[in-house]
Amino acid sequence: MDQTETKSKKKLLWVIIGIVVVLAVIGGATYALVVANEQKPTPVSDEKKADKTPASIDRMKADLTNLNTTSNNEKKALSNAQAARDDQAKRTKLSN
Amino acid sequence: MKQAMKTNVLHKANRLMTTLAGMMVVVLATQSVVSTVSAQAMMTNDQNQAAALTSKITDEINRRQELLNTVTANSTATGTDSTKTGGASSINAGDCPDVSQSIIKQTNTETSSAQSKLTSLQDSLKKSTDLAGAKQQATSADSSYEDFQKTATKAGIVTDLCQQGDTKAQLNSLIEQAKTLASSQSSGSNNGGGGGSGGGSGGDSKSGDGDVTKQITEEITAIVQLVAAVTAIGVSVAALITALQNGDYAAAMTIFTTILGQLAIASSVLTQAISGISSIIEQLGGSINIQVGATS
Repeated sequence: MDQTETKSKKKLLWVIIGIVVVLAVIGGATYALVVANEQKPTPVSDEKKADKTPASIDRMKADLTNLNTTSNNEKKALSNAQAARDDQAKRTKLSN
Repeated sequence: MKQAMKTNVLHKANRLMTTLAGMMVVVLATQSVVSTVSAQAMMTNDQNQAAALTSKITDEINRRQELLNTVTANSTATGTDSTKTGGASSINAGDCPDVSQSIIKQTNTETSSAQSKLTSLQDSLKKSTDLAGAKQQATSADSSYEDFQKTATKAGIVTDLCQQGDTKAQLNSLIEQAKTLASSQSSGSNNGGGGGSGGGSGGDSKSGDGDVTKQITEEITAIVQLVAAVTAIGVSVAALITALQNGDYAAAMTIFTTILGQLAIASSVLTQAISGISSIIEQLGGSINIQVGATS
């Protein structure tokens, strides 16, 4: 009876040890992956760029919007000048 | 018997004379009424014609004033001053560095003179009440048309030239900003690469950044060349306007057509350059929501 009890206790112990080992392996792998991700250089470089540029990029975008407006005004001016050149067709001849 | 016959003849003659006199009175009376009615009808017809002609002349004067205002008053940022009284605005010489001062001065004088002529034509039209007066104003309006059109076209060309100058200046400023940003990013990525652990992937990233910077620098150089071509066109336009002789309407219109062709080329080149700089900004700082050439 005692021998059978001792055997089953040993088995249980081995099962527990096995579970602990498997958990340790999984935990270690996860930890290793997390650490590796944290140490990746690319995102750090992107963050650096993003930190370095927003003010100047925002200013350039605002300037580009203004430039677009000016350019549209220029096109309007060009079309007005062309309309003045072609005005002969719209003119009403008044005297006979 | 003879006496009786004589009396009878006299009576007949008398009756005839009376009838004739009566008829004459009737004819004269009718004629007078007809003449009066006819004169009145003619007068009404003349008045209607004068009113119709006056309305046509007024419409034409308003149309010309509107065109003159449109070609000169474009936007406050373009160097045109719309605060000036009398309708059409003038071009600010200080805001158009690419156009010679004398051309701007001459254009402003011509525009102001065309505006005065239109105002004076309007005043004369208000004073003229009959058909003859209206016809005289019509002749005057017709004879002043060619000068007006020449002035309006020239003012439109100079205004557009000023606008192109504005666009170029803003574009050049953006090019300078892009150059600075590209070179700072290039030096930043070089420094970052030096400080890294020196692995293989780090080296690839460094050379990739270098390629992008090189590509951006090449694009900027191409845009600078485009803008330089626009400057050359602007100078030739100014020279053509200077060469324009007053009086020869047909020659003026030919020159204006040539100039407008050049300005259209310059305009599309500027749009191309703006599109290029927009793409560079995109490469430098991510996505943007500006459609170049789209009217807002």
